[in-house]
Amino acid sequence: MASVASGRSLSRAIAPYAFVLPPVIYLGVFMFGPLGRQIWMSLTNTRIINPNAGRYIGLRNFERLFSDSGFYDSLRITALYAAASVVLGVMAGVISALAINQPFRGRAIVRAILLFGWAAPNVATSLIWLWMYNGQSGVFNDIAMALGLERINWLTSAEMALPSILIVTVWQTAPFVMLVILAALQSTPEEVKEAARIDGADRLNVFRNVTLPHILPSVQLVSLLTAVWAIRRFDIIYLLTGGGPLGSTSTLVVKIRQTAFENYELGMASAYGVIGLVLALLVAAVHFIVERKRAQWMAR
Amino acid sequence: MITPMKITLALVRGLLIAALVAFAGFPIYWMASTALSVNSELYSTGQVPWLQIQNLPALASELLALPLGRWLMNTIVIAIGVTVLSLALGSLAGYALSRFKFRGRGVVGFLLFMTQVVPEALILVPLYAMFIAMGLLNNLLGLVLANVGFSLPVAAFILKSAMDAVPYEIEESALIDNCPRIGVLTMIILPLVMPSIAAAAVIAFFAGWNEFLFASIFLRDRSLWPASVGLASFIGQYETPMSAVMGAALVFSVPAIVFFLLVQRKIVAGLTAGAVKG
Amino acid sequence: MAFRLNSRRSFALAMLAVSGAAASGQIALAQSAKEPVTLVIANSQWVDALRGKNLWNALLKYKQVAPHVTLEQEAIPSSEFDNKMTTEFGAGLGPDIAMMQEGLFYSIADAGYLVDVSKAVEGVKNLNRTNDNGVINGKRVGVAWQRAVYALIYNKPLLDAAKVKPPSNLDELIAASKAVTAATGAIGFTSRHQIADFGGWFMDFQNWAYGYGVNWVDGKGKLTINTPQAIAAMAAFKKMYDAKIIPIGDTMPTQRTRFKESKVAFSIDNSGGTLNIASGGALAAKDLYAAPLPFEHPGAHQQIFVGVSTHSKKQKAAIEFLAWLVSPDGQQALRDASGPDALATDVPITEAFRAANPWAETFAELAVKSRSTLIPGREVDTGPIMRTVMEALEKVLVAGADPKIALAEAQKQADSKF
Repeated sequence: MASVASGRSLSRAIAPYAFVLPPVIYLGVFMFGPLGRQIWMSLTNTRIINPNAGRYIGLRNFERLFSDSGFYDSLRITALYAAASVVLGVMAGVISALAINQPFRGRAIVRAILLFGWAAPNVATSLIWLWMYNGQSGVFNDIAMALGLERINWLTSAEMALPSILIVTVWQTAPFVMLVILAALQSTPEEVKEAARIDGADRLNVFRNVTLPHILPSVQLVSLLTAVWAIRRFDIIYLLTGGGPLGSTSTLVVKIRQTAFENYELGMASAYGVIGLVLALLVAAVHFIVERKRAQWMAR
Repeated sequence: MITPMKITLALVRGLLIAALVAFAGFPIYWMASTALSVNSELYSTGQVPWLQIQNLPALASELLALPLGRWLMNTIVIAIGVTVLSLALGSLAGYALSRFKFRGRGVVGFLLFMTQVVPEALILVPLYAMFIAMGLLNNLLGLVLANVGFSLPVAAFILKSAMDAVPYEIEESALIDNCPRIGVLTMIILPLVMPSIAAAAVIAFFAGWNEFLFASIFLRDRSLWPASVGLASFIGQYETPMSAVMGAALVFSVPAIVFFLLVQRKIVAGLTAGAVKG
Repeated sequence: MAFRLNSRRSFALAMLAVSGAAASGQIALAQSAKEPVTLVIANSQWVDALRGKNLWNALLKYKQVAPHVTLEQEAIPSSEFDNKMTTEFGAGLGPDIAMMQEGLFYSIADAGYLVDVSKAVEGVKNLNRTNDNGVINGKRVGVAWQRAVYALIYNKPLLDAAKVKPPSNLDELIAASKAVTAATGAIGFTSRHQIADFGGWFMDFQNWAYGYGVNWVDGKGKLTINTPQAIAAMAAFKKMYDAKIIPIGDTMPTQRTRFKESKVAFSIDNSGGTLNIASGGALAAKDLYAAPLPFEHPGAHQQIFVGVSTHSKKQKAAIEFLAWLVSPDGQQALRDASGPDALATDVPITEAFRAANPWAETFAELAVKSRSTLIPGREVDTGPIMRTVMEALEKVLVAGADPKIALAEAQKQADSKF
């Protein structure tokens, strides 16, 4: 973060705001306005069917929330799901990016295939995985039986449902990770690598000392993003398991939708949403602490 | 010089790529296989694991009877709108965050991040109320505006980290030449971070491509439906025609992949451009 | 890339212009020239491949008596229908007329968004009991669109091949299912059984509950979840689930298509689903039969109501349209597209349909005694209440919980929540 050396101090003072204002105004109108209203709603008994008739009820929604054991379960499931999708998704994505970074024959096709999970519409993704997981005629069970195994209740047993959803999640998010890491890899200064190689460093050393530090900020960024996206992911969970069986995949967002559209309790759903925001902010705090540590470490 | 180390590495890499392709590709293959199967196979006698090309004409005529072209067009409008707006606003934010120390910088970064944790379902109702007032309901522009809020910050983050890596000396000389800041950004910095722009473009494009929740609630005319809502309409109250849905899903995924392949060239072009200047 | 900036208003204006042009030719013929008007009608059925078109064409017959009225579809996929209607009505928008499942209908009516339509049924003597729940708090806010009653349906050739008869109780059903599977390799029975499918599953399960004599609420309006009847119903469902006669993990659309492909012997389905199975599959309509549910007491039905929105600026025209809908002309038009669903008046099923569909008759008979899937007096809360019940059932099925204990817990939850 170099400070500007030019002497034009007024323009220096104004310039950052000139750049940052348009996006901030946009977000203020289309994101934070609605969001603020929604946070306010968490303190009301608003019903979705009549959103303007809500009354202020203080923290009663949160009291109800904290006295509900189902809430703690969904918090735990959300955390577990987010953590697992970060670890698995980022690992798969980084490995994909490293594997296809160097040119080889058919690389364009391989890239396109690896990217598909990101390109396929969510509805289609849910349907095809539902079909492959099908207990009766799904291909996964066909394979399991051909291998002499028992039928597996992919989505209908409390033990398997979350892992099954995680597989779909990795299939969907790894391409995003791959894309970002690939971009970072592609802009790794070639001359630095070259210099290291001339200095006699072997491939692993070049990777460890040049490539890895270069992509680390991106890895951290995508980890953060995949974590917070996992906290608010909805479509595939809802379509594959609807939060079941036995609530084993019932994340906060599933609860939000149920509360808002099944029970019509928009105020209560907003309270769930506020908890989700807090959870994601905790993740972000960890991210920023780690980033500061790294900046200090690099400055040494 | 071929060393055993090199051979092992190449072998490991080859196996790795094969495994990744199998994991990422199998569902695609199975979509195609499902699309080319008939109901009696899918629901009674068992799905045929290979691609039954002979069923392609039947599938095609089934798909042609649907307004796929219109759905696709709407989706493309949304996706391109989201991409353009996200990149334009995102590069401004990214540049400011990367190059300036200013009061409120932390707040801006924090606000950008906040957008990523907002569940769409939560801002749906307030946004809906606002769109009524602005005349943006039942309107593709409204869907663009609703979606950019989520993809703009991602673009900003990606561009900021890329710009952080651009040495400051490069733009310094231009500033001394009295080139305006916005010119520095568009003519010097942006070309240097082309790979990241391309990556951000792909991410924003796909976010718009997948738009579903807002479209399903905000649109009233069937003629404005994007592909995602069109696909969801297959999930009927009584049955879901699997082969048609899978066929349509493949059709819808192709343009997105093509877009990626086109942009991917930019990633490479950006690399060489950067190398020359660097 | 140009955006299509057609706001709702300009679109409505365009429609008005079109309908005006259409109507102007008729003005000379019509006795009194009426203002052209467009009515927007929301229904998830418009999206259904075949049935949607048939139902819409039935409504278009209204043009013959009211040439000044243009009908316009608001087509919404069924998965999004309730969310969208709730949002639109809540925001003060929405269609002029909507066809709503009973649960949504009650919620919208409860919020005060449905106008009094008693004018539409004034002087209509033959309204049947399917309209009863359309009167809420003494005000008629809806008329019956369709009522889809449940029955036990079966694939007769498969039963014949296994030499079994339609069962009259659960044990016979399980035995017959196993016999068909042994003889033909087909699946014995189909049923919703997953919480992912909550909206459909709870309505389907009411057949078991009602069949074992359950009343989810007592005479004083207190919720009675934990009753011997409910325990018996859950134990029965568990027995069926454990008998391995249903395809565990299949969604209902998949199971229906399997039935269509002649791969299933028995199912409990409503008349709408059955009409779908009877049309366009490998199983011929003439081979599909229906029997009363294999339970002691009558089962459930799904009801759809038509209502007029308080947000509509064309309420008068909308009510006139409803009046036509319940008239002999409207009912006859609807009958031809509705299979054996019960309608607002007792229009008999056509002879041709009856002859081609041997299953239809039973449905008409069962509609006399069936009960609503909603809990009387708790209509608006039925969804959340039934979620506690279904979660208890899920514990019984998946975790092997004792129905007695699971229902006692559900009762406790319901008492604290509702």
